[in-house]
Amino acid sequence: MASTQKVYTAPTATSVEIEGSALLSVVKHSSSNYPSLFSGTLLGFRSDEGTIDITHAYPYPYPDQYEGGLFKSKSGAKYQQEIQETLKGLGYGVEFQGWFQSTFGGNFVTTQLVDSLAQQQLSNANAFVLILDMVSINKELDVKALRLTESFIKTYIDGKWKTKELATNELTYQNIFEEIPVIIRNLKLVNLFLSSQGPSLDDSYDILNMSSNQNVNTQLLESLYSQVDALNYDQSIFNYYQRQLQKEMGRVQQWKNQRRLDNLERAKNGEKELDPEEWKSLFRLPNEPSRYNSTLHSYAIDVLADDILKKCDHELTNAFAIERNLVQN
Amino acid sequence: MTVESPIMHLVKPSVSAPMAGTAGSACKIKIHTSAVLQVLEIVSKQVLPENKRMIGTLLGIRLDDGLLFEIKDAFMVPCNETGDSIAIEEETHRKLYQLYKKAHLKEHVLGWFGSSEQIDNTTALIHDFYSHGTDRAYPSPALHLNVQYIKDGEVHVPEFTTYLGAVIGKSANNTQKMGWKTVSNNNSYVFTPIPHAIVDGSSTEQIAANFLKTKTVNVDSTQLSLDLSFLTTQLNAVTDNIDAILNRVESASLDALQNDDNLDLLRLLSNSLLSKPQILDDMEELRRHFHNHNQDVIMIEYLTKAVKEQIELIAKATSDADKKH
Repeated sequence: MASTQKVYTAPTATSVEIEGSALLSVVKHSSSNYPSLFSGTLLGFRSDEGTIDITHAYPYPYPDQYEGGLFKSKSGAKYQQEIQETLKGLGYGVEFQGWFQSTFGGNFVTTQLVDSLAQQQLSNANAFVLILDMVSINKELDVKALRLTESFIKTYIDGKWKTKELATNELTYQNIFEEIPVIIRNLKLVNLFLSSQGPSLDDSYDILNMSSNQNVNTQLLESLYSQVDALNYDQSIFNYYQRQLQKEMGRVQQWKNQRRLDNLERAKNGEKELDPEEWKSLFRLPNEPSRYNSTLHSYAIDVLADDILKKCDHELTNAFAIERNLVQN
Repeated sequence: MTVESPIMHLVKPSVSAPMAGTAGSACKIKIHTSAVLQVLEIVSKQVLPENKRMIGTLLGIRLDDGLLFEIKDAFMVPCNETGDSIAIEEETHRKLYQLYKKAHLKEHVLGWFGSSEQIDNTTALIHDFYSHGTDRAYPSPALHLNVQYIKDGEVHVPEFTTYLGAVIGKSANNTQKMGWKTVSNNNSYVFTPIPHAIVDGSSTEQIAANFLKTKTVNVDSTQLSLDLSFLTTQLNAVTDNIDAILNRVESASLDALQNDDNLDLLRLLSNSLLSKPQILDDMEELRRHFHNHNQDVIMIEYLTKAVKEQIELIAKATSDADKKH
């Protein structure tokens, strides 16, 4: 966990500007390698007007076992270092700005990803991660830039993850991340070329395919199960703690009552009152388990549930449209 | 023969590379949009002193026995030009290629790109560099992509031309060499234009590329917001297709039906429209299936919503539980 001298610094960047070619190469790499998950570095520079300009994107050589797995890995860092050095030789003054990560639904909320991002944000307040959601692959493009919120970073610095800390920092599972708007900016020559090209239309009308994609739903539901299982595990630890706490508090209460009676007795006899707060040194209350994992799982479940609801809505609309047309004819 | 770029393709030159495709058959090059943008970005940064040239390496895959090239990526390689000789920073090329290779195992060096107004001696020199040695296009023939965007000192819409270079004359490689100067450069190449097409790799890429084409030009910057414009374009395209077919069917006279093309069209239409799955005969059965399916989906929705609310409840309950103590 983070060391105590770290302080939260507010990010200055209000938006991410990405060059068309960088965006396309990220999209290409993650969609052509799906279902393998890939991550990589986004290189660029910070402008004075409060934007992060991304000019280059380089995927890491190996696919991820889970999201965020390569962010802090040695091989990933070495690869990134080598690329940066070579690019410097070319006269590109680009620096590391963030990562991209392809994912499926809310699965990107892993401790590895969040840990790496938190550490990065502590040393560079403007670090972010570009999430490419592959749920609607071939149908739509789902790209968003995320960074951790002030509430989260402050709780992360505290490092205790008790319910009280969560409350004082106003952290709930819904405000772990904040989204930064992504803006596309192209060079004039690129724009000139793009405007000379009409939108390309293949013969494949993938997006119009009405047949239901059970596979995606099954995959989403499976992800949801495993997240719920993980949450349940955390929750049972928490419940155990609560039961222990309750038991202990009961004994404390008993002791307090006893002490009160004793003190009444002593007052009657004109003796000095015994300390009513002494229970604090006599009883050891159980330690509250960290709420870190369960907060992350809750968020992942929330995102996955939203994805499933969206897919189901699609499915229903499709099914009703087809049914009406078929049955009427 | 499909012709995507306005080039008359006569015959592939016989290229003296061991892995060249069979001579006599047509070659084709596909360039991915992302590679095009990358090339443009590199050449447009051409604010250079006179003696520098902007070149770079093209990366991608070869298919079809070396007859189909797919350019997927590109990077810049510094190159100095002094009089008749050039110096390519070989080290940079090698390093960047090896780094790239780590992440893209199946891709190779295909050739190089540059931006010049004509093919000259230097073009051949650079081409020679890319045609030999390890970490280059060898043993396959090297490609050359030229981007021309400056005409008579003015910036124009970039034009791409792709070439395959073939050696003219007998290579000096076979002769016995003496002494320490054994490097033989063959700088006589003939560049044959090859047709190329700019393509998108996957549907997702296509959506992204179309977004770039329709939303980001004519404005300085656009926020990446996802809307239904792609769906709308596709739907419009389908409607246009249907209109075109209807028009054709309606305007066709009886005589025209004897035409082979029209007969083929009719056959295609009747095949795709009149064939229907068996299940369509039993409407009740179908309706029941739809009903069951919809019920299932609604059930999933219901349960998912329940899970969502449970999560909210857990968060609230745990934060309240602590307040009691």
